[in-house]
Amino acid sequence: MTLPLGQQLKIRAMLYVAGEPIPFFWPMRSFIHHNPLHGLEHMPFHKAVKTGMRLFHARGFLERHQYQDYLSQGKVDRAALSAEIEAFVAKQNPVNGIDLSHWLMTLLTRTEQPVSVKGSLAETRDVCAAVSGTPLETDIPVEPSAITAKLHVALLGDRPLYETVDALYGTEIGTELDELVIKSCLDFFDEGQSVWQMPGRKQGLFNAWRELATRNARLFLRGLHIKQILADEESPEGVIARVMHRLGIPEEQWVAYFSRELARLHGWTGFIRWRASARHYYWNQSYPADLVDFLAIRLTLALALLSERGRKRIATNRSAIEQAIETRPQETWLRHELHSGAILPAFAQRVEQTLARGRPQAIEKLFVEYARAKRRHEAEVQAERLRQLAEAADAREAFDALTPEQLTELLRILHDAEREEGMLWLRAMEARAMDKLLHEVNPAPPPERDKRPFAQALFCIDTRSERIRRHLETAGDYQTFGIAGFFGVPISFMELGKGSETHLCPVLLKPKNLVLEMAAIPSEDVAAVTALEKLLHELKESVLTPYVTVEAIGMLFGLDMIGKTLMPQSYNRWRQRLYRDKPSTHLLLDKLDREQADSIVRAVQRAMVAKAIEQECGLEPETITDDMVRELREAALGNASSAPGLREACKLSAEDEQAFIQRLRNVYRIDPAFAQLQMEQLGRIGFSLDEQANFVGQALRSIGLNRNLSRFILLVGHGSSSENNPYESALDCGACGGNHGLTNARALAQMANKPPVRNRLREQGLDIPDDAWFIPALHDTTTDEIRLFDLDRLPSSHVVYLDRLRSGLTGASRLCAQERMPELQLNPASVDPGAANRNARRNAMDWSQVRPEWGLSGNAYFIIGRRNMTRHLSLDGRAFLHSYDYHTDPKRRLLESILTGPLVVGQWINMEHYFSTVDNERFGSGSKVYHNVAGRFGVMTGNLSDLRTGLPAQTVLEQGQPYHQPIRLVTVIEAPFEHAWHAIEDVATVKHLVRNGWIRLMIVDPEQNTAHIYDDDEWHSQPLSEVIPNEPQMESSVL
Amino acid sequence: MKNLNFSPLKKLEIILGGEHQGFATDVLDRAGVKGYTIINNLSGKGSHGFHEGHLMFNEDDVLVMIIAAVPEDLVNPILEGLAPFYNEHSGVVFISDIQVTRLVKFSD
Repeated sequence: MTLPLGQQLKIRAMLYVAGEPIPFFWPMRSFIHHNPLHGLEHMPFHKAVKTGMRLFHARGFLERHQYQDYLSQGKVDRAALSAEIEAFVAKQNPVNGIDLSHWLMTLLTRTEQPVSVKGSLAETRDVCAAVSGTPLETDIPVEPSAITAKLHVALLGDRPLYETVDALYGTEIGTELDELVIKSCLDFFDEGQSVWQMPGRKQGLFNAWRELATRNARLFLRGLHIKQILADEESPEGVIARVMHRLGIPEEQWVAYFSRELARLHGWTGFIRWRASARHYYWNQSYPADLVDFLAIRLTLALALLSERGRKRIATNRSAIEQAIETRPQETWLRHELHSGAILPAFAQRVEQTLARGRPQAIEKLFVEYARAKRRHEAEVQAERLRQLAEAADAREAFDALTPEQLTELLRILHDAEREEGMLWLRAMEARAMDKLLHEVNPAPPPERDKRPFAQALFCIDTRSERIRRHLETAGDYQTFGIAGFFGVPISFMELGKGSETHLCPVLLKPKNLVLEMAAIPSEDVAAVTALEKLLHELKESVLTPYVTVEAIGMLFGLDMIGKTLMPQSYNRWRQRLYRDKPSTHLLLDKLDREQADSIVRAVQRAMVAKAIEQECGLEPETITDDMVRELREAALGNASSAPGLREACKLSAEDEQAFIQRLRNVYRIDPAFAQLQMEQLGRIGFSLDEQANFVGQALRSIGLNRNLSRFILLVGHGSSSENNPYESALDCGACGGNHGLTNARALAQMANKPPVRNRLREQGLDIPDDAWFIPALHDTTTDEIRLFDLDRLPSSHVVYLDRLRSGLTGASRLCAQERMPELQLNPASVDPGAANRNARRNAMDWSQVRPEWGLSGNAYFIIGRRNMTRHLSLDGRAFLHSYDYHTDPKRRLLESILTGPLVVGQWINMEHYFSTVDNERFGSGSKVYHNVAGRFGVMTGNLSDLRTGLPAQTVLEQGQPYHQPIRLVTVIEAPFEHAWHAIEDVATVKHLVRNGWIRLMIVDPEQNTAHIYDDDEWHSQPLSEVIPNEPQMESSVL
Repeated sequence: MKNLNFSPLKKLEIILGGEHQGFATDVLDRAGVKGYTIINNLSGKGSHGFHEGHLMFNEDDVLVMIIAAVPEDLVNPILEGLAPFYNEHSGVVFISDIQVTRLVKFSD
């Protein structure tokens, strides 16, 4: 039976929607920070957190005692917390004799345990009785209808059916199912880690799995009859529909049910979601898979496991469970108590035995007894906690005088307050962070300079740049700027010696232009490579070769056969030898002209034809003449009908000759359509002059650097260096797609140093002085060292200043390491700069180091404005700093760009850290110590687990307690209020993030000397205090 | 102009957020639609206010329109396949009658 097309498409769309709450998981080679609740960002923050907590079984806030620690350290604003509580109390009915604000403040700040008891049976009248010490009215039996309703909520709805069965029978199907699914995924998704490869992967996940599973004797012996389930359906959509009908789940619940099902292994789901969306991803192209495949496998295995358990006479479909709830509520409830772990320990054994015997009267009798005990227990625990709170609040008398109605109301208010508690703490913590910053920022315009600075340096907005910038500014006459670390140039990069493209830009963008890395000096090894001699010889005349590698050519021209088909062994040997020590390189940034592109395509075709003659006709290379090749090429392209040269040399018949020409077209791809594709590929290389001028102009204008350019302008990308660290990429530049930022820096520097680009910019009114030179550099965030690159291109006039520049950079590096090192050591004693530098280098090389650096941990602020506003502050590496001068941006386009790109990425990073901190087990990836690399793209805990997403404990926790202080990103824009607000209103994504409370926004209006804070759907203004900036405060920090 | 044969088809204009473009083209591909045109960076006004189409650093944050000409019998399956998506997301689909001269480009 095949499902009708419309039904199939509908199921696919349902899964698309059902998968959206689960965030993408990118392969760890290029770690991408993301918000684990990205799929819920259309909701207000607090609602999304509630939904996320339910879906991922996770915590959305820190635990109370952790906030209490922050309070005692001054990181939570007590007055703000008190105000939050007041606002909450104002919405409640007063309870006579009770000072609610005081009670709630006591509850939050002085008790560790929640006051609310999760009760299933105790009514408030039972609690009242327990409080007053009167006997409970336990002779009133528990109404079966009350239990039925509770069981419906707990067991049905969108909960996966096997979870319900597990909760009633202790069957542990869920665990076994997850394990089976993970094993299948590990087999299929392996990217070369495993020695054995799953057969048939090219057919896609479901089909490959189906082939194996229907033959899998172990599953069969285990009693799982996969074959029967798969027998009647071909497509995965069909299998899904069939299983869902068998389980008896109504169609209107499918989307929610699918979400719950997918969220059980949210790491794998996220990976498959990402992979299916990444059309360019090699492994997805070779071995396709999507969520439909994944769910079909899950549901098949789930049904098989349920059927196997069903042979033991337990309810295994929706209607059987509904029936059990309706007709045997007492038994079902006892089962649920026993297997969900809620049972009173004293009863556990009796309940288990009685259920096993299965005698209805005995069960009913036990139920009455157990329900009575449970009710009393719950009521007493609740009463005791209330009493303790009353004691702590010093209000025991008032508490004892409460009427049952008042007690009921008080209990409700306390329950509600605990439900809202996380938000109250969070907002009070943010209030402190916002207030501190507002008191310290300097809204005064920067002082006029009479001469230009010695050097200007553009750093990534990354929080780690803040420290090194601050130290560099004190090292001499340096001016620094913050800009997204890809410098606004989205690049698809083909590294020397690699045959694949890497996207060097934020994942929000898909780069259109390809940049090739070329050896500055052609490799001398080329001549030795006989297998490639012909091709490289042919290409010698072109601009491309011999500077790029053959992989690059193969990739560009879709000639997979170059390496793998035609010359596998020699190719691999050659590849290993060539560029073992990477030579100095340049980037090919300019577009090829039509003639160059044509000649390259022709040369490749000639080489392919020659190779084909050699392979297919067995002619020695020296007997293959240029004429022969030319004729064949013309014939293959359809410009001639025959190739007499070859026919003569090989004594071919007319048919053989035509067959060979056809083969050239089909196998060796010598045909006009393919040539056109190759031309298109070549067209992707490089940037036009206009594009280059635009990138340079945009980068400089966006940070307000449009005049007074120095002799040196450093473009400092950043990267980290660590060993034995699957998370290394998480420490690299997020704006460069989880890679280091040097290539983008080199690209922009090369563009900006080019006279034609400068001429074009001069026409647009941006004057780069002739003696200004852009130098790419790399900031190693693990060691704090800054290395300069492409110095071979430095004009000789600049060489004399190089020493001064270098010593400035070295000084800043050492001071930065000195500031950072105490936070990384077990013993936080300060060290001298030299020792700090040595320690930092050791961290980078130590195999056993689980925390080479703190990375972006601690991020709290995103500040868009002129450096003068924060130059005098020490922000402890907690702020993203994006330079921006509103004077240069009357149309707000630059600001809108900063908001849509860098700010959104900053928010992802911030939320990743937030959630990895508040629940490291569910949203983070737990301890690195137990991590194993899975399939070369992810990590698992132990040898079988969900793919671990988020950040490891070592990144955000210190000795089990948060190191990162989880707050939402406090975003500051320095601009006139109207200017900034309009920019936000014009960018839909950011507008929603602000309105839904995913970021906290403040506008610092330097013209009115006023701060505007967005809170609770409205703006609050306050005058900025006068700040007299001292020289940078090295010792006292703002936080 | 002689011997022109006009064949009736349905035109679908699917408007949705740029990040979901892959979803919509996947539905069309699987339905066997032979081709479509994609227009990026739409501007316009809808129930969510005015959308500007000029964003530079975030390609997901724009509206796109996918235009496809399909035989009538594919319209319902495609709409059925888009329905669960539009239950959750904003966007619209326009369906109109059109005529084409080279039917072979659009239908087997």
